[in-house]
Amino acid sequence: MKKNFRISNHFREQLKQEIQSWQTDGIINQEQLATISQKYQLDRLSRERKNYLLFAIYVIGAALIGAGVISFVAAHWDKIHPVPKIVLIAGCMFTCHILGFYLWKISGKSPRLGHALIVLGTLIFGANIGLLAQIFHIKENFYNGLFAWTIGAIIMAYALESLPNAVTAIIISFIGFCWWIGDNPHAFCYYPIVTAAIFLPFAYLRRSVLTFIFSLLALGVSIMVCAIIDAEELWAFSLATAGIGLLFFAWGLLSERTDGFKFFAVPAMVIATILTAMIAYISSFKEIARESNFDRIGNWMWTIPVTACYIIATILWVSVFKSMLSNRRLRWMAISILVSATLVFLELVVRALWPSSDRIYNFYFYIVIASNLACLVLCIGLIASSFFAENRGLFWAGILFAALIIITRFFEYETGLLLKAAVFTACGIGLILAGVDFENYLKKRRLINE
Amino acid sequence: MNKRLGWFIIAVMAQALILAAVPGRKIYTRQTGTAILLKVAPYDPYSIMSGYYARLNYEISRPPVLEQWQEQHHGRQLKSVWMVLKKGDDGIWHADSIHDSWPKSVPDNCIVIKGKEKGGRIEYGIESYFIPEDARGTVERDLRQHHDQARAEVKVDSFGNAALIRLLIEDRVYEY
Repeated sequence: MKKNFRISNHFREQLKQEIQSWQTDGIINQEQLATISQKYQLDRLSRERKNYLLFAIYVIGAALIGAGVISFVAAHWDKIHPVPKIVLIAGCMFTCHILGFYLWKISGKSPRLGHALIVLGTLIFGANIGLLAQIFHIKENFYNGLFAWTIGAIIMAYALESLPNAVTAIIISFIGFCWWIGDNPHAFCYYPIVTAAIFLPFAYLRRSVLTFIFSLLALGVSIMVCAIIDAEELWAFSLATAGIGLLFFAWGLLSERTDGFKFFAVPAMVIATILTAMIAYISSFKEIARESNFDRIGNWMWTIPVTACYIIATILWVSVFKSMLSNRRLRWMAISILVSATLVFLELVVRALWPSSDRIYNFYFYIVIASNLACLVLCIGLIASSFFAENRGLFWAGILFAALIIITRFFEYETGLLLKAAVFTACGIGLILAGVDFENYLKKRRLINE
Repeated sequence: MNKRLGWFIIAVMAQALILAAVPGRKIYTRQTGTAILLKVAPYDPYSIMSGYYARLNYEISRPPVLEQWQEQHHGRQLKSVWMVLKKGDDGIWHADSIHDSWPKSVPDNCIVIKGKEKGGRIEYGIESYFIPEDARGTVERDLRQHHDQARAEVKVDSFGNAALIRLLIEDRVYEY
């Protein structure tokens, strides 16, 4: 089998188990079993598992050595003259890279160790930036050093298709972004554009779910952080989060129907659902809705990425809408996300457009109603989808979210201990009954399927 | 394999170039710049050190010419600043005039240093001086006790960029 990134290890594991029973049942013969095993390299699975573990240990080891080198630099290694100091630490970096490349790509004797050495080389590269800044007394913003480190790491990631280098680049760049936004709260936020242009293509080229998740988180969280720091209002954060929820879910739906990228669907949809649930939940608090100050929209830079988010989300939703409706498994989940995020969006936009109207002075009440409705719709969507997809995770997510909403509202509005006790008990009983009922349903479905 | 090796070489070269670029400007300034002496005082006498760095403040960080400029320009804030320095009789260079672009004519006995206005102060990129762990106490004590005698030797290149070379307190020299 050629190196094929489209076939996940999970699929190969399942296939390995299945083909044994196919042979026992006489569906395939010994020869066909051997052909399938060879095509998917099933006999290599256990060795690959061991190799992944070894690689993880090497990378952790490399990260620890990297941390040691960085601390060594930070401790100011002052007994050595700057020139040998630079030669020594730059030599460490080049040695790690060259030895790593030799072991990984040239001799091929120890590819995992070689790869880990290249990761260590990139970590030492970051430490070197700090060391040089120290030697030359450079008073620069700390984030510039982190961005320089990011550039070096991502170039190495692309050059060698190295996943740990890409993840390192995303993490370092995000720390740099947090520093940058602290110093430039009202500047235009380039970071999401850079993330979309540099990190996401790597995830697609390498078909890496991990890089995809990190890129989505960096993209989404940076837009949300920009909104709240620039606008200095929680409602801007809510608006951004609802938009990102819509965008990521549509992205997930699009991935679901794109051959070769189906494995991006679940992470995108899970992140979108968590963000939408989080923002509907936050907006549903009476005090938060009442305290939101819609009169002040002085800074508007944050609206550029947020508007772009809504525009792209709209385009994606329009393009996937038809196929989404015909997808029994995802239909309810998608509709609930669309309705919940739209409710949050509309309540904020309507309130923001008429900030000081006396007529809607008590508009916060409608915000609370709409947000609670958004939470409810999401719960229904999660539970309904769990039945169609026969997915236990969705079911429990929906049930637990519903329980959280009920308990929160009782803490918020009702102080009577007796009533609280009754509600908690009812919630507990409801949870257990719902769980038992769903398990029975799953058992019944399994029997029908068999 | 060759293609992969080529990409690897490019990536390592890119990292090396980035490393070279970090101190590049400072090396250029150190090599080509004119050495000047500036009067220095701690940014905050009660908190001189920030981690391993001494936080320095210069006489030219908040010079009288800055206030004059702002008065003349109705409080307009400067972003980038080009300060013309002139050597005094004491050997220390003092602020002579301030500009919002490179000055059209600079007298022979003057030098131009570039800075950025930040919170009512001008920063020239020479406000942090790295001090090794075992010398921190000595330098900190010396700066606190004799801050009126503290000077910094700085090099300024033809573009106005500055690089901090050493710290001088009375007749003691601190260079790391």
